[in-house]
This record gives sequence, structure tokens and C-alpha cells, in this order.
Amino acid sequence: MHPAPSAPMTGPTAAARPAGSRPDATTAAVRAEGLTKVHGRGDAAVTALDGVDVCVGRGTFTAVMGPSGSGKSTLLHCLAGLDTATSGRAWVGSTEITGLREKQLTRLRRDRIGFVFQSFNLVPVLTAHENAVLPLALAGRQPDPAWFDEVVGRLGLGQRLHHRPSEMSGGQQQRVAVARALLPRPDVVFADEPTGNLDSRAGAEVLSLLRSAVRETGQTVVMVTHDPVAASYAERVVLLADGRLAGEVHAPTAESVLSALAALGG
Amino acid sequence: MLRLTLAQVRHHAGRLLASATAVVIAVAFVVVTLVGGSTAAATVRAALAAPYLPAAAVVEAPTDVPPADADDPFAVPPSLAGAVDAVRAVDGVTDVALDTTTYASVSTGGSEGEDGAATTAQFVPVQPVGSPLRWQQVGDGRLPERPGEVAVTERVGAVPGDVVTVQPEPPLATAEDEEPAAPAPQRLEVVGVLDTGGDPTASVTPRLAVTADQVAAWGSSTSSEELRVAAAPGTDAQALASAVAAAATDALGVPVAAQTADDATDAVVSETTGGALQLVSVLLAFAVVSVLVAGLVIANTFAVLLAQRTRELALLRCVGASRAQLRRGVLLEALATGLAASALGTALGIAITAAGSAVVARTDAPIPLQGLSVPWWAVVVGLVLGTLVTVVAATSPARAATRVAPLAALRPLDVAPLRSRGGVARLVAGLLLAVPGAVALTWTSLRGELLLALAAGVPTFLGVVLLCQRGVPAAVGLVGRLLARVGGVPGRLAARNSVRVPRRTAATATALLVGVTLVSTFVVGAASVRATTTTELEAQYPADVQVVDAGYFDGPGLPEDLLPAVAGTPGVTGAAAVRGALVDLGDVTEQPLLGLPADVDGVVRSSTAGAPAAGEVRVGPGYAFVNGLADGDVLTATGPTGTADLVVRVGGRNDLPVVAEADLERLAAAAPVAEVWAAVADPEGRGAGETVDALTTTVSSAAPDSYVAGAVLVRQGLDQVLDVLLLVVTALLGVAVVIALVGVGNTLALSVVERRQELGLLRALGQPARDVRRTLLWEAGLVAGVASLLGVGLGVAFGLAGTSAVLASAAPVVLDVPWLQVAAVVAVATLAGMVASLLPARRAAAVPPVAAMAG
Ligand SMILES: Nc1ncnc2c1ncn2[C@@H]1O[C@H](COP(=O)(O)OP(=O)(O)OP(=O)(O)O)[C@@H](O)[C@H]1O
Ligand SMILES: [Mg+2]
Repeated sequence: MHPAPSAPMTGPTAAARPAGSRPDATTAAVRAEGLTKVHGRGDAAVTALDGVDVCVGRGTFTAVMGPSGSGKSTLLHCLAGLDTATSGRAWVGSTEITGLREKQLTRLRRDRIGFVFQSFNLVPVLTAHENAVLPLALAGRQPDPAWFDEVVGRLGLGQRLHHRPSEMSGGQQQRVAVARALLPRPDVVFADEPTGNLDSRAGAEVLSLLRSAVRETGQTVVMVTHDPVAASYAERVVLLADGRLAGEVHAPTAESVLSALAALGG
Repeated sequence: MLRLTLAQVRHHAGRLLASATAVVIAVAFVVVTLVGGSTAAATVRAALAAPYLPAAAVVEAPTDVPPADADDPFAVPPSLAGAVDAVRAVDGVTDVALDTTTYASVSTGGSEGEDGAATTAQFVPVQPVGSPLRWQQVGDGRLPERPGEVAVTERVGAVPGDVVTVQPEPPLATAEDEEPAAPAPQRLEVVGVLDTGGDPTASVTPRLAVTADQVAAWGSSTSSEELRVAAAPGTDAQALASAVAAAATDALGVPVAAQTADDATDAVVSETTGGALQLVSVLLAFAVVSVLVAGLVIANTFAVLLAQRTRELALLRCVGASRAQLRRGVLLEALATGLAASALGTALGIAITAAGSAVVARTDAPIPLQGLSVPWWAVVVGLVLGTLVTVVAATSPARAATRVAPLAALRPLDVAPLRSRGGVARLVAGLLLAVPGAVALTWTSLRGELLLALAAGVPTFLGVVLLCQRGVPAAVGLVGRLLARVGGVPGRLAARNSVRVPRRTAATATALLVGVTLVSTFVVGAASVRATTTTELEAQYPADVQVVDAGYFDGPGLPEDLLPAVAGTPGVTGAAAVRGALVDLGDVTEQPLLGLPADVDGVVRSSTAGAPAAGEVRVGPGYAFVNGLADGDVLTATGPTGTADLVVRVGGRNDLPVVAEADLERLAAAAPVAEVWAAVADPEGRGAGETVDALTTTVSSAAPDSYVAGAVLVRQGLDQVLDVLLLVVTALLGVAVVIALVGVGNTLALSVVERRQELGLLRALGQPARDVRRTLLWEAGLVAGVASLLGVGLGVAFGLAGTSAVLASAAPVVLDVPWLQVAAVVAVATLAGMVASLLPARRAAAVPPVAAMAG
């Protein structure tokens, strides 16, 4: 059932670029320089990110890993314009998002970024179909029918498209969330522990969806995960510890990720 | 458990108190009514008791004539003046005052020729300086000391130094055929202005205080008398009253009654405040409506609050709390909240009354409010009522919430299903109440059975309210589907959210619906009463405006140049002079008869009021009935200058017989102008009022001896009364509507708390803050709009039924639905609902996108 963990490495997209090479600024989908985030003030201040430099190439699948509290979610929030960094700069494509105003960030999220969260991904009062096209509806756009059919076709939801989230399993809900993230063809899809609440089988389905989006359509995906098996679907793993970059694993396998994490902990 | 509850209350204090706003407002309303009523009563009592404070006993004027005069039809009961000495001689009496109150006509600005309008005023005596029974207070100047001086109330409109002219009434006739001559007018100098603080009658009747001798000199048939008796300190008032009664009875030879000063005060106060008490109970009825609506709102709020805590409650069950324990805890929480809210409401009510009283004291409004009288029972009623309503309202949500299975702690929240057992029971009960109720209401109101209709209306209303629990979510869903089509994503979300928890929506809407129903019932009722009554009253007036000669048919009549003056007044579209004379008509002698000129046809309100054909006399149905006339009868009319046989036509609007002008000319040549009739532009509109004002001015200078009447005046008088009434009723019911709107805001605010994650998600996906706000705004507008639409529909039905029930037995009912006002009610309630959502909407828009990931 599981694809070979090394499979991403031999994919056509990955082969186009030497694995592990740092994409330069022009081909980067997401980039950050000295990104720092301090939560709270004074005695209660917590430095969640401490000068992080990171670059994610277009059409790549990157996993972010690290111990709990290491700043993974914070990094994702700052890169996605969900939260504002304390200092440093970040770009989505060629747009610098640090310094954008709330209205511009809202538009950016709507038009150029896709999200998959760990839980509570769907608006309960909307059907699966309505949820999937929500960002497009918010922008007042119609989905491209061919693209819609392709994305939705892969979901394997069939009749369930007109059900409400409460009538779907967790895995089905996550697949709808993935479709929603992919439909507007965003510059990048951010996923924060998208399989955290799923069993391994449902998780594998979601991860396969993400990976095939990267391979077959050149979508960029950045995913935070705790699960070495999930991370092995990515092409590159970025390791975080105490808010700083703590290494990378290229062409990760569950084993190589585990040992890299163990090295961090040690 | 108690400790846990108190911790809960403390933790949720803000949210609980905000939810209890409805109770605060309702309790404040009740307390304002009670404290205001009590303050008014105290003020009135203080004012009315003033004369009796220095007295110990009061002797009433006898009503019997002496036995010796029993056969004399002109005999009157003896004056108390004859008993003064006897009463003074009673043991313990220190002073006796004979208070004669009389009425006379008064005009201000006494200089000849420019007299102000004469009004009837009350004259009261002032006891001499040094008498313990002297009680009046002056605000300005001094009390009168000798004949020729007078102190006046503000209502008279004179200041010290002015002169007023008094025309005393003729004294009583003492024998047949004697017509006593009116005394000569007297000019009095105003020396002071009386302080009438708090006396509710002071603003109605002008009152003048003069020396006791002066009043006695003007004694007339309208006089009344009483003796106030002062006694040495320590005298037993009851014994004294008996003693003075006996002494007076002996002295006058007829039975004389006396009572203690306290009893006399009670009597006069209850006489004056009977109406005020009624007013307080009417106000209380409105306050009770507010309390009931507050109960609905608070019940809903508790249901929402507890639903949000389902997991927490389930967790408590998991760790071993029993259902009863949970329920007790929740009810205790309600008790604490209710008590706090009631205390706040009571304090607010007292503060509002105090502020109102202070404002009234500063203006000279005719409202008897001075100081503040807070009876202990008003405070108790406020506290108990508010607490009770809160606890009772919380009972059913508490039972529902504590029925939670311990497992729910581990499950995501379920949305309450619509088809619960309670729902079906409510549906059945609603149908059982509403359907027969509506049938009975229709039947009884059509027959004008007010009490029966009222009895049928209550269950109908209750039934409809129960049915709303099911109907409202359906209606909201239906309207929401329209909104979803035009409103984009915010519209769609608003539509779906509004029916997310149908029971909540139903409860929120019902509270508003009750208020809106009552308001529109009164709006429609007032319009229909107006339509019915004006139709009735207008039927009696042939023309929009009629200038009528005050010296009717007995004198020179109206000046001939009045007609052009009236016709030339702006707003008058046509005018005609109607001549009149006294003629003998059939069996009736000295019958006033009007002659209508041909050009009156362009002036009258209906074609049936125009000039009759030559040789005919038209009489109203009432006149025909009284005089036994029928259509086609022939009457012989004899006037000063001729005789004619006239054919009777029954019909028309005038109750006076009318003939063609030429016929009148034959009977009474050159008869004077008795009336000038005028038609005005847009008689139903507001502009007609200005025309009438202009006409009144024209007429008062051109023909001082006349008055202005007519359909337009009747309509305007009625309009004014109904407008004020409607305004007051709407304001009173407005409190209930405001409470319901607080409920709308509450429910929404709580749902924002619930939907925090979802709102964050929408923001993360790129929904602008503006659209988040818009979603909530539309959700509120949807619920409030549907509630007020349904409420108005119901109110129209109730208003029509009510009018019919009240008036059907008296007159043919003319139903009128003022669509503009009704639409305004819907618009205002909907907009207000949206305004109530502003705060929650702001809070919703402030939810950060990161909230999507919390939990
Ligand atoms: N809103 C906040 N206020 C204060 N501190 C915060 C806030 N959010 C995160 N932190 C702190 O910032 C640090 C990084 O948090 P972050 O959520 O990014 O960690 P994470 O790597 O995603 O952890 P996990 O794997 O448990 O999700 C932690 O120490 C956390 O306590
Ligand atoms: Mg995290």
C-alpha cells in the first residue's frame, strides 16, 4: 500500500533539479531571511523563531520537522501570512509578505496560498463541494471545470460531494481540504500536520494526493509533520530546533529522518 | 458543588451578566413603574393633604334640607356658616375655618376692551394671618390679605402686579320666577403666585386664592363648603370628629357628618389617584410583557451558554458528578446571575425614576413627581421577580444540558436535532391552541364580543408562539435561500448559520416576534379605530370646515364679508354661506332651518349633503325618527315672511333640516348667515391643520362671535389623541422589543465564541474581515427580519380582530392597515437587529486567522 519511501527522489520533477541544491531567489516559491518571531513581551517573551533562513523551490515537496515547541507551526504561520514576524523578511513568489497590510495579506492568502490544517478544516455549514470551491467563491471566481474534475476526481469522494462535513469521515474531510487547497492553483500549499488526526491508511491517501499534485502538476507543498513516514513523502526535510534551522535531510526515508531527529534530541 | 458553581460564575461573570442584560432592563422597567407610581402617589398625597395637615377633623357640608322646608323645591341645605360658632365651642377646638370653594369666570389683562379669553376658575379662601388653618404657600409675592387681592396658580397666567377680572355667578334663585341678576364684574389685583407643587389638578383648572369673605360674597350654586377644625395637641381626632359632628348637627338642624383629617385626606387622595392607580396597573401590564420577553431571551441565552459547556459538564459526569448535582449547580448559577441582574435592574430603575423626577421638577410638566419614594416592596418585587424569571427560564436548559452523557466529553459537539420529543409536543400543543383559538377569535370579534375575543386571543397567541418554534426556522431557511442566491459567500454563510441550531433561532426570533406583534397590533388597531371613528364622526359634518355663528339663529348672524375672507384663506378650495332662520316646521315650533345655496354643492363632503331640490326639506335620519317623519311626507313650514309646503326627504348628514336657499328666502326673507362652509385642500393630510389654523385666525378677527367646527377638526382632534396614545404604547412596548434585540445580540455574540475556529479558518482562506462582519450582519438581519415580518403579520390580524371586537357592537367597523407604518415597524426592527449584531460582528472580524489552528 505504501509507496517506497525513496520514490519521490526518482520522480520526473525532482530529477529536473539536482536534489538538495538550494533554489535561488527567482525560482523560489517561498523564501525567508532572518525570520524571527517573539511571542509575548518582557518576562513572558518566548522566541519561537530565531533568525530562520529558508528557501523552498517551486514544484517541490518540503517537510518541516522538529521537536514539539520548536517553532514549526510558527514558521508556517509567518510564511503563510497568517501571523506577522517580529523581524526578518519573507517572500511568497516574488511578493514580499513581511510588511504587507492585513487586507493585502487576506488577498494573498485567498489567491496564492492553499491551506490544509490538522483538524477543523471545513466550514460546517457548507457542503464538501462548497468547501472545496470556497477560496474561489470568496474571490468571486469560477473553478476551471477540467481542473475541477481532475482534482475532485482524485479525491474519490463521488456522491459525498454534496454532504456536510459532519457526515464525512476525518480522512474524507482532509481530502476535501486538500482539494480546496489545490483548486485555485496557489503558489504554495501549506499543511500543518495534515495527517495528525488520521489513521495510517487515511493519512497515506492524503499524502499521496499531495505528492501527486507536486509531481504531476508542479504544485509547491510545505508540510509540518511529526511522522517520519509522512515526511518520507517529501523531497526534502527541514529540521527545526529551538526556533533555529537544525539541518536538512534530502531524499528522506523514514529511517534517515528518525536518525536525524534522534541526533537533534541528543 | 457550591464552590465549583461560584468559580463558574466568577469565571463567566462577564458573559453571564451580558446575557442577563435582558433581565436588568425588564426589572428596571418594573421598578420604574412601581417606584414612579409610589412617588407620584406620595407627591399627590403631599399636595392634597396640605389643607388637612394643620386640621384634626373635617366637617362635611350637609346634604339634607331642614324638615321644615321639605316641601319647598327651591330649598337648599343650610350653610355650614351657621355651625361655625357651635363647632368652635366644642372642647379642645382651637380654631375653625369655613372653606367655601366656588367657581367664577376669570379673564386676565383686566383693562377694558382687550380682555383675554374668559375661563372658569376655582376660587379658594385663604384664612387670615395667625390662623393655624392657613395653609397655602406662595412661590412668588404674598397671599391676599384683604378683598380686592388675589393669589393665582401658574395656570391662570398672571404675575404679581397684574389685574384679573372676575365675573361671579348669580346667587341661587330662592323662588320660582326669580332670576337673580349677575353681580357686577370685579377687578382684583394679583399679589402672589401660589405654589401648587405636585398637585395634579393644578394644571387643569386655574385656581385663585382670595380672602374668605370674598368667596363667601360670591357664593353660588357651584359653591361647596367644608369646615376644617384645628384642635389642641393630644386631642383624640376620632372623638373630636364625633363631637364636632354632633355640635354642627345640633346647630343646623340637619344631619352633619365629620371625619378625622387623616380620613379626609385618604378620601380626597383616593378620589384623585384612582385614575393614577389604573395607569400604574396598565404600565405594569406592559412591564410584565417585558419580563416575559426577558424570560424568553434569558432562557435562550442559558441554553446557548450551557451548550457551549457540554463537554465540561460531560467531564464532570465522567469524574462522578450526578445529574442532580449538575442541575443544582446550573440552577444555583442562574440564581446568582438572576440576583445580581435584578439588583442591578432595581438600582437602575430607582436611578431612572429619580432622574425622571428631577427632570419633571425642573420643568412645569403636569406630572406629579417630586422627590423619590422607594417603597420596600418595590425593591422586593424587583429582586424576586428578576431572580425568579431567571431561575425559571434556566430550568429547562438546565435539564437539557445535564442530560448529557458522560461520553460526550470525548465526542465533538452534536447539533441539536429539530425533531425532538419536545418539538413534537410543542407542535401539537400549538395547533391545539392556535386553530380553535383563531376560529373563536374571528367569530367573537366579528360579533363585537370584546371579552370573549380577549379570552380567545390569549390561547391563539400562545399557540402561534409555540408554532413559531417550528415555523420560524423554516421561514428563515426559506428567506435565507433567497439571500444565499444574491449575497455571495457571506450571504450563503449567513443563511446556513441562521438555521444551524433551529431551536436557538426560533427562541431568538420568538422574543422579537412577541414585541413586534404587540406593537403592530396597536398600530393597526389605532388606524382602524381612527378609520371607523372618523367615518362615524365625519358623517355628522357636511363640510370640511364650518364656521358657526355662536348666537345661533338669535341675532345678526355672521358678517356678510366673512365669506370672501374665508374663501380667500390659503388652503381653502371652496366656500359657501349658509343662511338660517327659526321657522315652524310641521309640529315643531322655532325649528332652526338652514337654506343651502346652489354653490354649496362644490363645498360639501358628499353629494348627499348638497342643496335639496326646490320644494323639498331634507332631514337627517335622527330627526326623522324623533319627529316621526318618513320619506315623502309633506310638512307645512311657516317663517316670519311666508309659508310653504315642503316634501320630506330623509337622508344626508346634517341633523338640522335643510332646504334650498330660495325656499328659505320665501319663508324668512333676508335671513342672516348662520354658517360658512368651506372645503379645504387634502382634508385628510397634515396640511389641513395649517389651513384650519389660518381659518381660525381669519374668523376670530372677522367674526369674533363664532366658532370653527367641521369634519377636519374632528379628524385632527382624534388624530392627535390617537397619535399620542400610539406613541406612548409603542414606547412602552419598545422596551420589550429592545430586550428581544438584546437577545439577538446575545445569541450572536455567543455563537461567535463558538465559531471562533471556523471564523479563523475563513480568514485564513482569505475572507476579508469586512465579509466576516457582513455575514453576522446578514444573519442578524435575516432572523430579525423574518421575526418582524411574521410578527407584523400576526399583529395585523390581531389588530383587525381587536378593533372589530371593540367597535363592532357600536358602529360598522372600517378596517384600515397603515401599510407604511407596518413596513416601518419591519424595517426598524430588522435594522435594529442588525445594529444589535454590530458588536458581535466586530468581535468576529477580529478573530485572527491563526485561530483556525487552535485546538
Ligand atoms: N500565541 C503564542 N503565545 C505565546 N507563545 C507561543 C504562542 N504560540 C506559540 N508559542 C510558543 O512558541 C514556541 C513555538 O511554538 P509552535 O507552535 O511554533 O511549536 P511547534 O513546533 O508547532 O510545536 P508542536 O509540534 O507542538 O505543534 C513554543 O514554545 C510555544 O510555546
Ligand atoms: Mg505545531
